[in-house]
Amino acid sequence: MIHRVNNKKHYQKFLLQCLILLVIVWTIDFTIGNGLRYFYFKQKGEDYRTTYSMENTTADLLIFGSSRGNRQYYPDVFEKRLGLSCYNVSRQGQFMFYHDAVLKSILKRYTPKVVILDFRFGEFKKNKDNYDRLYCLLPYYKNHPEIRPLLEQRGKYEKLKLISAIYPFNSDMYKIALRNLPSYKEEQAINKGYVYYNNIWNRPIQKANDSKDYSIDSNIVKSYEYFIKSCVERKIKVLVVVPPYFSIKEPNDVSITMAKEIAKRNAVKFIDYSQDTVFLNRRELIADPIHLNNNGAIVLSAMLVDSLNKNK
Amino acid sequence: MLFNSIDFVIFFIVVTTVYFSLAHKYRWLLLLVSSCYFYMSFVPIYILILGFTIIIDYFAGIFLETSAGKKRKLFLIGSLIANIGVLAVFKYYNFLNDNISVLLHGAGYKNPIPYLSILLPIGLSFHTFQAMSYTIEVYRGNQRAERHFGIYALYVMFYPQLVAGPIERPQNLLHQFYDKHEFDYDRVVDGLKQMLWGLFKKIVIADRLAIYVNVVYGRYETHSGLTLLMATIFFSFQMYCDFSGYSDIAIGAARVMGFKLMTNFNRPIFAKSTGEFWKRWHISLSTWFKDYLYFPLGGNRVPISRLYINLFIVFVISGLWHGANWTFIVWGAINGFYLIFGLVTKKYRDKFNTMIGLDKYPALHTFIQVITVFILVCLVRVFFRAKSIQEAVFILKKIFSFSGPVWFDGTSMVVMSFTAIIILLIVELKMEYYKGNFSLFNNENRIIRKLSYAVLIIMILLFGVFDGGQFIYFQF
Repeated sequence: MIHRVNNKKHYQKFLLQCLILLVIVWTIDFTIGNGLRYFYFKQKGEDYRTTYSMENTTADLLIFGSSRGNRQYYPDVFEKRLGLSCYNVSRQGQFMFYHDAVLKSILKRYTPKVVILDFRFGEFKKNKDNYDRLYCLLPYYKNHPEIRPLLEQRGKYEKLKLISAIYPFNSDMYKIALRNLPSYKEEQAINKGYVYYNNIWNRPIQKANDSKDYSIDSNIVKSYEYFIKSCVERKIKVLVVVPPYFSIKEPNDVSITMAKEIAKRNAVKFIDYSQDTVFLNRRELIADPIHLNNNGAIVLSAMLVDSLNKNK
Repeated sequence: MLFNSIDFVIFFIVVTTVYFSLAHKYRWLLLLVSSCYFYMSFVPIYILILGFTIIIDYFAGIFLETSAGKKRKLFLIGSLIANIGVLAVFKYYNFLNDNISVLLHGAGYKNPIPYLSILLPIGLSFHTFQAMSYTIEVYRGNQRAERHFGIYALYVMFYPQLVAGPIERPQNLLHQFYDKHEFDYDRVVDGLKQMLWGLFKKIVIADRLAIYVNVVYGRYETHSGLTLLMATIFFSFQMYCDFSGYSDIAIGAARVMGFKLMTNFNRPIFAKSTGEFWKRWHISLSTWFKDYLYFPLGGNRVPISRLYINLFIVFVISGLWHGANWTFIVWGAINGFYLIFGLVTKKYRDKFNTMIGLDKYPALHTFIQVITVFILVCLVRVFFRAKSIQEAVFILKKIFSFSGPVWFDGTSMVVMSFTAIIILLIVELKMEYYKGNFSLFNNENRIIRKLSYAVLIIMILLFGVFDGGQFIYFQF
């Protein structure tokens, strides 16, 4: 059944050439990959803020969220009124897996006093996109073993792909180069992770077009539970906040209901501002249907300070 | 199992290694089993449909060869009905039903025919056409009926070209399963090079451009005319790199094992007329239609008006082959119109070019021709990409308003997209016009050769889209 090899020389030559090619590829990959790594950690911009959040911040109060986290929680308000240092570790387009990963890295270094988690409608919805979005944490895979299991959820061959030194910086070469230029400036003004939004939404309120029937991703639920439990175990005060939406939302979103129950089980405060009339009736606080503007952020932050003070 | 996945890389390495380790007489079995595994990795149950057509065509082939007269024709018709029937049920049933509903609704009636909730079996149009070419060739006496059931099944199911072609002819492929292929270093390296270039085209160029195209076409109402024009040009490159990339991987994978599949693309970007374009684009399908539809309709040996009608029919059916939607039919019809218009006006265009002296500058003339064909092809592809005729017309109207500005999702995206297109154009330009000159992949210097493979792999790692999706042509 086995074929007798009568062109052994061809096989040997092929294997040898493959080996040589592999060595060349590995050498170039190692050199370029490490060059990119060096410049990645020297750059400005949102990647820098992720690095700062994971490796440097020692703020007492941390805010976790997506772009809504970035734009709706004003650190200065918390600092002034609570007397605590504050940093907004939110990142645009990043959800529960990202928050879980960043918290894991932070807890390895120190224990903050207060954590605010921005929670959205449909947070637990199953979507492959949630895993793809974690690509922004790939540069941290090497030096942050605590986040590896999370990143390996991206696909069954993720570990294999990460053998390459270039892969964590895939598609980022140009961005890294640009953000290393001395002339580079971010588009928006940023203060302690908070991104200012000054415009006012000028269209009338509409009914939200959310899907209600969706399947739940148990991995996201686990991440949320882990997030809450890790804070509770370390006696960190946690506040889960569903921020205001400038649209009419259907009640009983499955994710919100589940998140509320988990928070309750762990004696964590869960505040739902999604349909709060303070915001629904005041368009001057709104930047777009899912983001508050700077004035809105100040109002929301003040309301959260009151809530935190009430619970003291 | 997509060609651009690690699963396929592992599958390919295992199958190829075992293939060369096995004695020749068992290799067909290995290829058949691995092809079944490959196909079942998409939707397992659909292997039964494939099995059904394989059984029908296998016996049809034998009956065609052993019978005579009217009976032969009946066997051929039976086989064609079975194949087209499968296509009709799985691909066109709901489309037909949709149109019946519209007609009945217009007359004030409700359509009582139920819709089928079925998924189109992957690559159905490809393997059905390949199976049909077998029975037609046996009927025509150009191919002997295959008596070995396993080999016939392999002819239809050979995994490199099973789901997106090239659509092979029995005369070219069947005998190759009987040939003994030794491990030949040069051939294996050639095959791997073609696979690597195909992978580059798919994940560095096509999938990169797809990001922009999907965003713009996904919300076409909100984008400007120039943005839609940019997305349409990008889509043209995306479609080419996606499909020709697939074909390169398929042809390369087969070549590694010693099989020679037909060329499917011959740098269509440099076509100087729409007629030439179809000789360079999806060649296996164009020649299929030429051999089995255009010639039976009379080919060139008919009056000129009949020739134009024949061409139009072929292109409309080719449009329908691509998908069960009016957009594809219109796409085919416009392509047919392009071709006929080109034939009708050729004499006058040549005269005009002589009059203005363009024929004295062949390079400029070629450039104008290539650009004109490219623009025509880009514009008609709006119908290929849009979900409905209304959407396509809206997009075309907006494109011709030339309203700006052009939207880009960050400079990084612009740089990567244009770099990808420029690399493609340089490579294709070199292959088209400077073939004998300096070559990186086939350089005599071993170090330059190795470095160029390595650079291509590194570029895939640096710029490839690893969360990319399916190949466009899988849906057909």
